Amino acid sequence: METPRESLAPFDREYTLSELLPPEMVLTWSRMVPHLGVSHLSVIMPDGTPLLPTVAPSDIKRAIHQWVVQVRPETKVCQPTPQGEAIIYPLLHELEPVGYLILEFRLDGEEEREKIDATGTLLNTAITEIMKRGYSLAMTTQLHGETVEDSFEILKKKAYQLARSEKKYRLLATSLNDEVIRKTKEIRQTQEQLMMQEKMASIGQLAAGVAHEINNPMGFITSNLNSLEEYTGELIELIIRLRALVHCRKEAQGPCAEEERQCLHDIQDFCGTTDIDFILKDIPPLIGESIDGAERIRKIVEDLKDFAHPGEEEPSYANINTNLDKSINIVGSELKYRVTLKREYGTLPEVRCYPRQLDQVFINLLVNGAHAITEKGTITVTTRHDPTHIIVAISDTGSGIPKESLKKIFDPFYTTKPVGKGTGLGLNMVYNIIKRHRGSIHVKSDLGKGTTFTLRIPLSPPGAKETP
Amino acid sequence: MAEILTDEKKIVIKIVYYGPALSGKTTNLMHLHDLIHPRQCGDLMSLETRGDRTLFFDLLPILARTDGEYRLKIKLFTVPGQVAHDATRKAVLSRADGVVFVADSQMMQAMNNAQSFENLENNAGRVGLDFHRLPLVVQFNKRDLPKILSEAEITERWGPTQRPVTFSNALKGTGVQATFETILSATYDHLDAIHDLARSYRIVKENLLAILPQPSP
Repeated sequence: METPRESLAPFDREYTLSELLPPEMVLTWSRMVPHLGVSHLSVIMPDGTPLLPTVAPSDIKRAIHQWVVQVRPETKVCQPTPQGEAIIYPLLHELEPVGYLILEFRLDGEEEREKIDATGTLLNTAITEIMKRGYSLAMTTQLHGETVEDSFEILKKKAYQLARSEKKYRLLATSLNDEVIRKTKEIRQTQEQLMMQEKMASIGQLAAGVAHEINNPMGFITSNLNSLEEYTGELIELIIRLRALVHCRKEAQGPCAEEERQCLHDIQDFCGTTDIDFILKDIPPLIGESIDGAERIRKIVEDLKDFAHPGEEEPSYANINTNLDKSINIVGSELKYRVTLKREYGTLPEVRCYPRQLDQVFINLLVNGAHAITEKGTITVTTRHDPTHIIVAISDTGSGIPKESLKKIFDPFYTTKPVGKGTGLGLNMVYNIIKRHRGSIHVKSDLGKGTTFTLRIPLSPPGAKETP
Repeated sequence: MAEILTDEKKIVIKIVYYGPALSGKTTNLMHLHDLIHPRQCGDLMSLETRGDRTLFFDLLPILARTDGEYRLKIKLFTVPGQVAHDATRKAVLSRADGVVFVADSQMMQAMNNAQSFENLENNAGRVGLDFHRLPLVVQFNKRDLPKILSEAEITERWGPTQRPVTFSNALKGTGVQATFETILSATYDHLDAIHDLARSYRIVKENLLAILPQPSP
């Protein structure tokens, strides 16, 4: 239950005459009626109290009032007074008298009484109507007051609740923002970690091939060095003997001294057992080959270095054909035995791009292609360009991708490789890099026949603000 | 509760006609006004209406004859039925001695009846009336219309409320008197138990029922 408000009188209470009839009006009337032959007009409450307490009632009046209170007439009555007569009209409100209108006058015949009664009836009707209006106004005003106060209380409560919930939500919003920032950071970190893992996995895959690639030149370089070591030994021997001969020549007094002859003999003897001619002929190609091999190793290492640190790069101009060659070099060992590689390069304009990232893309697609080929097959790399894009197509004659997998291959973590072998991020990374170039990637695959990845890289440079 | 004015030797009883919008509350009062003798029944006051709809309330004052010196006045009120006027409805319900819940018999209105009845219970609580002891009659009005709930269905649904149920067609006047007699009787019993009306004020139930025209013998 709500606390009752004592300050407000209930709208449906019983109203008194003074609440329903404005006393000022009665005062005006009492001043006017003498002109109509009425000597006194008074209005009293049921208990005899005059409506206008300021006007002190005369003894005659008091006597009439007392009579009215005792009798409580329910209809109009005439009552003689010492100075004439009085007509008393009960003022009815909701069927009950709530007061009386009393008109006193000197009796000057029947005609006069009728005149006074006409005035009285006139006033009585007016008062009844005024009371009715007053009643209705008082009730509606009171009721309105009650409802307004009530609505105000409700509004106050609502405002308080709203203020509280607003505060709560504001707090929540602030913490939510922090939470989102924290989570975003966490996700970004995880993503970076996964990308790194993918890179590591790719590097791992390549490591074996690269090792082989390096081993090969290292093998012949080592063998060459061994031969050269042997040759060098022989040559040192020869030089020692030649120096001895030169020394004898300087010291000798006469021609063909005994020692000198001995030295010459020695040299002839040494040259007879050692094939100096062969050595001299063999050294330049051995050195040449070794330099070549060393250069090959240097190149592989350099490419590998590029591959390992693709992140921090600024866009630069590159020829995509060159990049493709480099990537083919890195994955060469994966391809060598099973795969025939065909290059169908068109002439390409230089394009502003992130070349090392594109290398990753090519390596990924080439390795995927190679993995799709189970026995023997061909990978064809085609390049061309139209007015807006460079188009690179890498197609293999491998097993192809089933239709239901096709739309999922770019999703992160989607992989068909056994657990622990693939991260499922390779093609996702490819997709992201191509997106970063504002390019597009398209796959066409026939099960059992092969797959073609077509990349479109725009000729217009990626935005300056774009960070790789 | 009843307002007992010892100075004026008057007792005022308040009966409120409650219910959903356009269920026929005002029509009930209009018909009672026509039924009761003009010397015992004042004018029907309609405060602020818009079209057929009550915005504030209607008021019908009725006087009952008694054997004692205390006069007995019965004030009949209607509430505005529209959901929006809840503050007014609550204020009008305050201090009620008895309630007639005027329900609309049409099947489509079942939900509105239920909502309004729940609103009555809530508002009764808010204005400090003990709802379970409050004299209450449920009147199912508009019995003349098609697609209405049958009396059996209504009795089944409203039986558990333990409230007397009456049926009416207020436009024609059928059932209006029976409803009013039922609430007068229930209200009298309730007030008599509290104020001992019969012995303290010499007011008996017949005084109330005599307000209405009695069937000629």
